[in-house]
Amino acid sequence: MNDDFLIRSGPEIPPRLEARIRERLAGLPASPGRGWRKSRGFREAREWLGMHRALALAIGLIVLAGCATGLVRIAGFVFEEGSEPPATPPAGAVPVPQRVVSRGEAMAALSFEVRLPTWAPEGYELTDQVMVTLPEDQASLTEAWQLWLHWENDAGQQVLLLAFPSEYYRGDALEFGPAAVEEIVLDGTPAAAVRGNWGVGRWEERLGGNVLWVRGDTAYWLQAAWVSLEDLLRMAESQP
Amino acid sequence: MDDTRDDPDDLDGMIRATLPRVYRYFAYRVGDGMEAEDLAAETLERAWVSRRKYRPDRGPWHQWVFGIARHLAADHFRRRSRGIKTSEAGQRPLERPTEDVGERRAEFSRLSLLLSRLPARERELIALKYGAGLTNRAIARLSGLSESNVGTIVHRVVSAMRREWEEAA
Repeated sequence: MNDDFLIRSGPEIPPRLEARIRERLAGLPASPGRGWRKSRGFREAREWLGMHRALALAIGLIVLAGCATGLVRIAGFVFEEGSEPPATPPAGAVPVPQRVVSRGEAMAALSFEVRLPTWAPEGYELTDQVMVTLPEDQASLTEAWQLWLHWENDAGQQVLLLAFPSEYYRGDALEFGPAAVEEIVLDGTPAAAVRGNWGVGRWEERLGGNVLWVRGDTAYWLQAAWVSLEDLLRMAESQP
Repeated sequence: MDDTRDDPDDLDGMIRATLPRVYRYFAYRVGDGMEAEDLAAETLERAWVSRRKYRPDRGPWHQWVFGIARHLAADHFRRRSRGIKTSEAGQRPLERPTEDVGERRAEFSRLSLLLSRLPARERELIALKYGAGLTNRAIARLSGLSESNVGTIVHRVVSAMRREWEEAA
């Protein structure tokens, strides 16, 4: 055995693999490079927040999930798995009140505890801006705040963390793709790991993932499209 | 591996330049099988989607790609340790090897057995050196080890593997 042998011994590439990869990659868009950052950052953040409209509405609306069937329950959350993306809000729906504050201001005003992960994927940094959404008719109550924190990398890609008092989650079903939700154990307690996210009109397993858990009296939902589920799990595990 | 990447949108060029070494890296790292295929495909997908983030002034293309590959390998082992499904391997039929490929595969299977006994760091260095075909300098940049340290470790590991190979023959 020598260098030449070790190099030569490498297996041949399976003939089907190259075609499989070409098929998979053709048509995939490139994520923006650094040059796009300034023009895309805020818009991307807004798009991200738009993706979460379903959750914000879900928390703001009263749905008796207990009456529904075919639901998965993990860590106090109710999940509905299906191939259809969440319905868009009906025309004329009242938008969820929201505002942006600094992280310091948000943390000082909160009357519930939010523990931030101490680890983030390489290149992602926690931003100082926090968006706050508030359940209907409770806009002035800081104990009812839903906090949207985000970590961002140079390309403007984000990891979002939604934190809110678990008592304000009223069992509304959270909609994810088919067989996407898995029960895991996070720091000794049950949590939900979801591989993928909703793409345009369909569930895309390759688009990152979600981790949902409850710690103390606070519920957390970590989500990213360009970060692997494994990194999201590591991030959740780093919560002090 | 082509380090220039003149045309970042040349998909065929990127696959031709990148796939062989990435696939072999994973074959040395996790074994010759569907897991290596899935990881190679995932690496190329991430590299392709993120290609505009590649900065030639910060290092060669292969170094950037293997940064992604190593990250995915680490994820793979983390998932495996958690018992999460690590590939779609069970959902696809295995390809039937030709005789030549079968012989080579048998040889690699024997080599894989030796590789599987190596500690993770040593196996990683062997995969980068002989699977990916990287130089000691490139491996040093990726691993954070010194170039001479890489050379020493690789030499020691290969010597030990050679002894085992010959004893088993």
